Amino acid sequence: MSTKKIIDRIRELLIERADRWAGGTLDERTPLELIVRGESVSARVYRRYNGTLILAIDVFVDYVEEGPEVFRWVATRSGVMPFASIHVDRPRLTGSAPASVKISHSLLAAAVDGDLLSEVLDGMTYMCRRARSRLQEVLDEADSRRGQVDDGQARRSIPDEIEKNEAVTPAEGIIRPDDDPEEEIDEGVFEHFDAEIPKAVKAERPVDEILAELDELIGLQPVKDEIHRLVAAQRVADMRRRKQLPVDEISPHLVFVGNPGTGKTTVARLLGQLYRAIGLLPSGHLVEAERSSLVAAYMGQTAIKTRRVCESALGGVLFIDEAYSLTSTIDGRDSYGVEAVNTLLTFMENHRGQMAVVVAGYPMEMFEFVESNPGLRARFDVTIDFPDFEAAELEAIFLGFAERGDYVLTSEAADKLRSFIGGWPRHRGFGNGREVRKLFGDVTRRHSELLVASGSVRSITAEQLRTITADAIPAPTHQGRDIGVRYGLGGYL
Amino acid sequence: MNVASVEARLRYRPTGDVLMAEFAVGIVDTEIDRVDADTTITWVRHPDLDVPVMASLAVIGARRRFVSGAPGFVPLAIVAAVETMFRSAPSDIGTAVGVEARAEARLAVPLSQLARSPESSSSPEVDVASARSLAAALRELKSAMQLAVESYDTTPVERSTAARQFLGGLDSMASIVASHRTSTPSAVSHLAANLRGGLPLSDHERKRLKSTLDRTLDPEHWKEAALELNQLAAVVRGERRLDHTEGT
Amino acid sequence: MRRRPKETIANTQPNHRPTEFIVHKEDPAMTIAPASSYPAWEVERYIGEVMAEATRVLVRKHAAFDVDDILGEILAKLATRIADTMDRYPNPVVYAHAVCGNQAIDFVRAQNAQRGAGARNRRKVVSGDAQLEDSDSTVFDGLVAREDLLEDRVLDRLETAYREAEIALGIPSDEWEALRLTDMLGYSDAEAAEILGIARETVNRRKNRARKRCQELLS
Repeated sequence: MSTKKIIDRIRELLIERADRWAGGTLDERTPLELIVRGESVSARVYRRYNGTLILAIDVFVDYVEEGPEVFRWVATRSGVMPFASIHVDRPRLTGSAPASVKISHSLLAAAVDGDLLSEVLDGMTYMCRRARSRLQEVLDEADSRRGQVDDGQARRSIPDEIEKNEAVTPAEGIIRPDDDPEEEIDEGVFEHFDAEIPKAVKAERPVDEILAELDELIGLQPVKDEIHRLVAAQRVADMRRRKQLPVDEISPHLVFVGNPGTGKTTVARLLGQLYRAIGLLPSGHLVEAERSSLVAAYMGQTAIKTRRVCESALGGVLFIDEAYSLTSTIDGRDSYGVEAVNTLLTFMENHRGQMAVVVAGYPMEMFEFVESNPGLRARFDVTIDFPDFEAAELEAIFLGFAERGDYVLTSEAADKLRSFIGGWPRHRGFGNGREVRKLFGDVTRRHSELLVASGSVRSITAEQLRTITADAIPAPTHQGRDIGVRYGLGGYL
Repeated sequence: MNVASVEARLRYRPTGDVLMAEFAVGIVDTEIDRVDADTTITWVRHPDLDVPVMASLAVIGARRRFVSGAPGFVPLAIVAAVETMFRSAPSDIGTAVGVEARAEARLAVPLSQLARSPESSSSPEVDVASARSLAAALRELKSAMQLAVESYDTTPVERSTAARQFLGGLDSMASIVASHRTSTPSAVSHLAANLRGGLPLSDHERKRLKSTLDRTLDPEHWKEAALELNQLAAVVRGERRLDHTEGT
Repeated sequence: MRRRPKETIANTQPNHRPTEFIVHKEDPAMTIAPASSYPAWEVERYIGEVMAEATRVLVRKHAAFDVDDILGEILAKLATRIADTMDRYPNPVVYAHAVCGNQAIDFVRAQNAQRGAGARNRRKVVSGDAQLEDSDSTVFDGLVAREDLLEDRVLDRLETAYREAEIALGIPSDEWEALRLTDMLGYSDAEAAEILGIARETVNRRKNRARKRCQELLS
């Protein structure tokens, strides 16, 4: 079919499905304006650099004042929407018009038919309404936190280097609107989400400063050594490259193995910053993902979801925790996980030098995961082991929490703490830092209970509030000995 | 007797955003003046001045009026106090206690600042017919948009707050226009603030509507505005399309 | 005027006398009755619009701070039956007009009682449609004389009838205006004609048409 025929057909199909046609022709300069299911929709057809004809559809969500809350919300939303991307559209001249939040999706013009269009429009307009009310909630929360509603000064404006995400994805497979398109973001996943916007201009941190921060982390000596070595190797390679000398390409992708709570995410974040500082990556921000961020409920959607997450990590580091769950054959989750892995590999191939991937998990499972796929084997050739913390290190972490919370321990309390931590059973799955955090919470809670039970609340002194006594510390459950089995594969660890 | 300054008493109610001021200048030959539907000024004759002086001031939607600086008719001496009252207004107006909140202030104002000036004169009266036609046009647009929204407004959860505020605001403005027959800046600014996502309008249509609403601030343009609103209602009903070449 | 007990929150500005925010302590009658069918923002907006419109109407005839006192009364009345009111009067501006009539009348009566019979304000309305001289005892006397019509109960029924008529029968707004000014606010046909800018006969015609429709509904 000729281009004109394709365009005419698409226009006809769109107008048929709209409440009304508000103007325009589908041309890139005069997009087709429609009202679909009560929402303002704009559509245009354009040709990609390689000649492919693309239909791009935008749905208007709302006007926004540019501010950190909006951008953070939009950035976290991008990875969650199954097949459409949400972004902030900024006017060409600042101040000429307000910025708007829009939902976009692109399709291969040649593949468009009535059914596909109906589903896409349906899904997008539905998502639009939900996004609008959620956006309003986010803004209301931010307003109430700030206090004054009218205080325009409170909102920062986004640096001009932010560019709209122009990635175009041709439709693959049948797209069905998700039963629950608004998958609630598991706050745990994004707990450490570094809301650094790609290409955002930040103060440049010199490599040595970041390495110093790494060195200040409690324990993790082998990890620190390894990272230092890695950075040095990358810098040397860079110098050789500049001098036109042959270079052995060192893969920036890594495998982190060890128990939970051993600092893998923290180190991954610092690694991102290091890569940026040595010029290996443009932005070095961290995106955390796990199986549920990559895998979707329907065929064809996993690829799209994974790609969205990868796109959000472009320029920085993608950290995938429990990566082996993508290919484990328990429960027959196999096929979707494999789709995610393949999509990831394709993306890594297409975007060499633009992203680093760190996969993490338990040692044996991660070994199997990497070995199972030649693509993974080729890219992930460096593994860094995150050992469990020593008892003394865990104690130091606890005392760190205490200091930050302005607590002091009596010497009896400190002794009791030491023996409690010393008696912790070490096994696969031992929570390390997380255990300490939990313990700290329990201790402070117990401390409060004791204070209140002690008698008149009015007469509690500041000193008493700050001082943790021995009876707030639980008794050790085991006598300090290693219990349980450590998994490992000889020299691999 | 020469009086340099007089006492002013101010009151502000966050509920309704109503500001009132009374100046101790006596009550000889009182004249009530409506600058617009939101602003009413009372003038009296004062022995020391040739021109009338302000005896009282009432402004509705005061806070919004002050956003880009105090309006010309407000005596300079009270501006800072007024802004303090705005800033310290409680944010929980909707509660049983908050709704009754009121601020009061007393201060001295130089008599000269109360003298009547051109900015504080009434705006022209609009004839009943124009007022009625503008009111009717606003109501018609509201019904057209309400119909378009309700077809897909399947659950209250999905209804946009701004859209509901906007539609309700159209009705309110129509009533205010019909009963007061002069411009209402507070109603217009409420509509402008809610002319956003959730309304069944394209980008162009939204911009056009915004400029039409702004035009209603000058009662001279009410006839044109009514026509444009009627056109827009027809557009929303799908009977025609907005001509993009018409100026915004 | 009855004064409610108050709590004061003080903010001081260096060059001005203290500005106080007077927050009235919760008077049981003042607690806003739950309006669970309406979201909080809508209730807030509604009350705000009623206060705004009431101010617009009242400042035409009363001193600013007197208006403020009347607003307090209106608010008290509204607060006790907010959900009901929002149901019956979806348009807050219409409700404000309906209630202003009553409140203004009450207030004037109270003032007259305080000052003794024969007291009048001397105010002249220059702009606005009401070319009423206020030594216009006709207006206020007229109002006072129509006590039977001003009985809340009767007015309420008329209000209800109007709402139903407006919605169900679609009584045009000019018929409503004529009826409100004459039967409810007590203006004579001539006065109403001036206010509306139409002929006296037209007022008469419209008011009768409206009355008939209301009667149909009231029966």
